[in-house]
Amino acid sequence: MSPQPPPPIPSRLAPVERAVEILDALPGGGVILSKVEYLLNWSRAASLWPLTFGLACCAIEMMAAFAGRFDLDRMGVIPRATPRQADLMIVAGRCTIKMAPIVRRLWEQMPEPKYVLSMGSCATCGGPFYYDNYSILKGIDQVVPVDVYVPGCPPRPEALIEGILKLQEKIKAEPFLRRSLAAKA
Amino acid sequence: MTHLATRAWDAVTGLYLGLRVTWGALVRPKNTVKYPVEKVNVSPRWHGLLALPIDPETGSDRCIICFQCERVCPDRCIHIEAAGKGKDRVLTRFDIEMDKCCYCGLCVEVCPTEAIVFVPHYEASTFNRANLLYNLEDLRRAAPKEPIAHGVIRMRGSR
Amino acid sequence: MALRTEELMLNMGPQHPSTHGVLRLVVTLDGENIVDVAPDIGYLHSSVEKMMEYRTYLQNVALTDRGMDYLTALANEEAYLLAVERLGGISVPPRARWLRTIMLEFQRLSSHLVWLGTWGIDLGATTVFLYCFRERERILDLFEQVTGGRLHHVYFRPGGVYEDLPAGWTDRALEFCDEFLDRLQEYHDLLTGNPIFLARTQGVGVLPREAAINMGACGPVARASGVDFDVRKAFPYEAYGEVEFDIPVQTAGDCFARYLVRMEEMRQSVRIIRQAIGNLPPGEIRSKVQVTVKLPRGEVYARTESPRGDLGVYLISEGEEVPYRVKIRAPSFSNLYALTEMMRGWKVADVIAILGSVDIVLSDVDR
Repeated sequence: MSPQPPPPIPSRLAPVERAVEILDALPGGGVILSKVEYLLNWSRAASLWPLTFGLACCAIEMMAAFAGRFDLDRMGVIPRATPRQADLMIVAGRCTIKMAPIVRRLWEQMPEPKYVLSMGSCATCGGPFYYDNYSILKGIDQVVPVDVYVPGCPPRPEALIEGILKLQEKIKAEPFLRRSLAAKA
Repeated sequence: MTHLATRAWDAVTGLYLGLRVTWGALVRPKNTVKYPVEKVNVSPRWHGLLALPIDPETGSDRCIICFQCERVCPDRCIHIEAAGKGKDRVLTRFDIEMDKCCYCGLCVEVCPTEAIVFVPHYEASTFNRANLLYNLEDLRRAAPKEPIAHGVIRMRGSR
Repeated sequence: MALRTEELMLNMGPQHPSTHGVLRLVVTLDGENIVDVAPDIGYLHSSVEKMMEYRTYLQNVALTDRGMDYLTALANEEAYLLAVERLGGISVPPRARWLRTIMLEFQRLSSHLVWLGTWGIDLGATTVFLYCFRERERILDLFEQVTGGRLHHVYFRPGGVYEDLPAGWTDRALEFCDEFLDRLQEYHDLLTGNPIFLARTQGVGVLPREAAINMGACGPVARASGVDFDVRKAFPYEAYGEVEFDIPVQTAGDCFARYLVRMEEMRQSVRIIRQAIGNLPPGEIRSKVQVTVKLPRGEVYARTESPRGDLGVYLISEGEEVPYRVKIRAPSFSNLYALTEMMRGWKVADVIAILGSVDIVLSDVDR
C-alpha cells in the first residue's frame, strides 16, 4: 500500500487572495487595489525591523548606525532581538561554514515577507577571505537569498543607511497584494 | 536602620547624578547627521571606492600597465590585461571586483603614477552582485554605478 | 543547600543579543544556579593564520586588521609588525614610534568605549551606549583624518607608518582629550553610583588572584584580580618606555573591579596621548623597506598589550617573501578559559553581566 500524500494545508492568506482576485475583476477595482497596495507598501517600507544579528566587524558599524550620530531609528528601523518579529536580516560580517546552517535557520524563522541585506565584502562574496581559505562561506547568497548588497570593508554607517533606503524603494515597488496572482499567471 | 538610611541616600544621590548627566545631554547640541539630506564631509584620506581618474592633459588615465597593484592586492581582486608591445601597449581590461576589495589602499600606495586613487564615494549598494564588478569605464567615471539621487543632497558645512 | 533539582542544559547563542558575537555557551543549570559553563567556539574561525602563509609580509598587514580582533585593528598590526621588524632587524624612525603610540592609545579608547556601551546595554543602561558611541565617533573621525579608515586602518607598515599627521590634527586630538575626561566623569556619574548597576556587578563573578594566574587570564581581567602586570611596562615597545603612566590594579576580582580597571585605563590612555603629542619628534616616518621584503631565516615572538590583554605573535620565517608560520596568541581566548571559573555558582541572570565584563571578541578567540 503506497503512503497517501498528506492533504494540502489551507493557506491563511487564501481568503485575502480570493478577495483580491474578485476586486481586481470588478470595474475600477484595480485602481482601489493599487491605492491599498501603495498604502500597505508605504507602511511596510517605513517600519523595517531588522534582526540584531552581528557576525563580525560590520556589526560594529551596524551598531554605530543605530547609535546617536547616524540614528537608523529615523528610518523606522528598530532592531529586534528575535527573528519572529523581524522582517529584515542584516548579515553583517563574514559567515563561516559552521555558522551557515544557523543563519539559514534564523532566516527560515522570520515571517514572510522577509528581506536580506548583505553588508560588507565578506558577506557579499567572502571578500578578503575568498582565497586560501577553508572556513569562510564564499558569499551569504549561497545560503539565503539576498536583496541588497552593500560593498565596503566595513561600509560606513551611511552606506548601510543607503542600502536600507534602496531596499525601501524595492519594497515600495512590489505587487504586495497581487503577488499570488502574479505567481499564477 | 542606619544601613537602610545609607542605602536610600546612595540611591537618591546615584539617581540624581545619573539624571543630571542625561538632562545635561538634552541641552547640548545634537550630533545626529540627517543622512540622506545632510552628509558627513569625509576626510580626504578616506578609503572610499577606487577609480582611475582621467588626466586632462592626455584625455586618458595615467596607468602605465606595470601590474604593481595587481601583484600587491591581498585579495587578488584587480585584473589587468594589456595588448601591444612597447610604446603601443594599451589597456584592454582593468577590472576591480569591488565586492572582494577590502579597501586597504595598498594598490594606491604602490602605484608609481597615482593612476589608481580613492574617491570619497561610499554609496554603491546594489540589487545585483554583478554590478559590483567595476570595469575600465566604470573606474574612469569614478562614481558608483547606481548613485542615489533622490532629493537634494547638500554637503554639510565644514566640521 | 541540600535541595537540588534535575540539571537543565541551557543553550545560549550563537545568535543571542548579548553574547557579543557568535559565541555559544552551553550552561548547565541546577534550578537557577549555574553548575557548569562550556563555551562552544569556532563560529567565526576565519583561518587567518593559514592565509598569512600565502601572503607577503606587507599584504598580511591588511589581513591582521580583519582576521584578528576587529575592534583593535591597530593593536593587531602592531603585534604583527613588531615580530616582523624584530626578525628582519628593520629600524623604525623615532617619529613613527611616537605616532604608533598615539594611535594605539586612541585605539584602546575606542575599544573600551565599545565595551562600556555594549555592557551597558546588557545591564539595561541604554543611555551609556549612546553616549559612548558619541565619543567613539569623534575618535573615529580623528582616525579617518590620519589613516583613512574607521575600523580597519592598514596604517602601520614594516619600518614605520604610511602617512604623517595632517595639519592641525594634534590640536584636534588634544581638544578631544580635554573633553573626553569630562565625558569619562559623566560615565562614572551614570554608572559608578547607580545602585542597580552596583547590585548587578559588585561581588559578582569573582576571579581570585590564584585562579587568574592559573587560568592564564591577561589584561584588564588579570589586573582586576590583583595581578600587577602590563606588557607596556614589563617589556616596553614603541615609545611606552619613555612615557609616564600608571597601571590600574584592583584586588576584588569581580565585575565591578574589571569595570574600574578599564575606566582608569582610559584615563591613563589620555595621559599617554597628551605626553606623546607633546614629545612628538620631527623627522622621517618610514624607513626604506621593499614592498616584497624577505626576512632572514629564524623565529621570533613579539608580545604587546592590546586592549584585551597580552597579544602575542609567533613568527617563523624560512627566508622567503612569505612567512612560514604565524601563530597568534589571542588574549580573548585565554580570558575565555577563566569564564567558566567566574560563572560557576552564580545565577543565570549573571551570565550576561560576567560575560560582558570579560570583554571577549569572538574574532580574536577563533581567528
